[in-house]
Amino acid sequence: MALNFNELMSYRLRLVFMVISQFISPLVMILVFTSLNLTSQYPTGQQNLISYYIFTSLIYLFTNSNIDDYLVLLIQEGGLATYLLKPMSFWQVALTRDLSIRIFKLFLGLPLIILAIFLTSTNLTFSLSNLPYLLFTLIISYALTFFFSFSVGLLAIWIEEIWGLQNLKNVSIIILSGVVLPSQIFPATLQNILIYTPFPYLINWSIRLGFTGSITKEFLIASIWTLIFYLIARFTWTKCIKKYSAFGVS
Amino acid sequence: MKKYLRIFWLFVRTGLIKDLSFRFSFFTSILGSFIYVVLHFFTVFVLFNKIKLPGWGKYELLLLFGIFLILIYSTFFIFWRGLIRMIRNIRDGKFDYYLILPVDSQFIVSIMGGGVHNFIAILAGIFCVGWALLHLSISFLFLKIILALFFLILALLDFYSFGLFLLCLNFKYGYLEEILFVVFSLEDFMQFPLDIYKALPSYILFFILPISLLTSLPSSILLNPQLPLVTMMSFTLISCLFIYSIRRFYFHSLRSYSSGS
Repeated sequence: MALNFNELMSYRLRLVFMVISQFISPLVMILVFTSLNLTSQYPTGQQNLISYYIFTSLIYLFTNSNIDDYLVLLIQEGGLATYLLKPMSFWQVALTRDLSIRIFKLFLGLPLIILAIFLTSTNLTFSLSNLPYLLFTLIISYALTFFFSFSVGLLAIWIEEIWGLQNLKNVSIIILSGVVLPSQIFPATLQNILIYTPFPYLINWSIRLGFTGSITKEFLIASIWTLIFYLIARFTWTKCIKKYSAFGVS
Repeated sequence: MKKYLRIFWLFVRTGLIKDLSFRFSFFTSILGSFIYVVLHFFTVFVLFNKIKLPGWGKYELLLLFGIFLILIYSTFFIFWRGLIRMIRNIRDGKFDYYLILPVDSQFIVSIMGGGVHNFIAILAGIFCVGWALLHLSISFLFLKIILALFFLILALLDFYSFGLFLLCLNFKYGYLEEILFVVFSLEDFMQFPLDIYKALPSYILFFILPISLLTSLPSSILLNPQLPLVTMMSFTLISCLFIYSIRRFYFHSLRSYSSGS
């Protein structure tokens, strides 16, 4: 993890742009909702929407795993072979790398979030009794996106130009998990269907905990999806190792 | 000019050959573009289905959405591959290869042909504009289309120039790949009508206005009964100055480039 932090620190300005690029879309939506008078049109109110975007942006920095980008690079440039020869699990390498980037981004994004909270006068109400729930949901959400991204990234073994599928993954996550628009804006039928899909649990589940009316039901669905994604990632990895070939020195 | 058009065509042709050599990848890239079009469509139309904005009906929004698609995907089609390679070439020290070619270096590094999938998204944008125009009664349509096209080209060059301006930081600060994502994230401001931001404080509007105008001006030329002459003239003047300054800045930034090759 320390090595990953050092690598990240070698291009510090790059990190700043990395974080800024992820705040622009929510910022646009915050400005749109600030500008519009929603009190008569939107039931949950303007302030709630703004705080929704602020906290979604913060959690998005941590839960949205991009390990597929790293895997695609390793597979296409042949770097995966070097990791396969080392006496350690590649899964651990991928997990620590991704986790260190997430933590780093979270710390870099914090000042921006604090500024947004200050500028929009967002109310912060947090009870310590919610902390275990918060941590547990964050871990499940991160595990879900990690296994999902890992499986997508491994497809680069079979597909030359993988970015189309990566787009499909990213866009379906940001639309259906409520990053672009809160799911209350979706049609009621879509909202009901989404409960049983992995999408509401991928990114900002922590701030929407209890959205179905039953926390137990949500934990059950999220745990089942985590297990499914883990098995898919495991299966794809086994197939990938058999198929993978590389030559030369990388 | 003829030489440059021929080079551009060569890039497009080789890009097409490359795209078609990997059929499944070609299919997934079309899917990738399609899904982005869906994302923007979803954002705009789901939002405006819930929230009504005076003066912006279904077809007015469709027209703006079409112009947005044409602008963004034309930028992707013409400049994306070139700009993304420019960052990697600066990092790998291969950039000097482009500097010694007997063509304008800004042209050759910026234009490397685009994917067919982007071109399909441009066609989808043209379809949206055409469909909206069919349902809106607009006078002097031909003249307005020509004017809107002119401002769309100007907007395209403005957007590209802004991207190039930020990319030039790579010469001085090394590897900043994410800078291009910052530029393309700004497209989110363009998908909504300019009227939506009018209630914002002027210090915020000062930053949003130039970005939003890139799509709002061509659409307001088509939608408004009277042409916004003052805006059109000032936009043309400022754009020409901006594009020229960025070209100067690019050549100035080249002095900071050092290669290890």
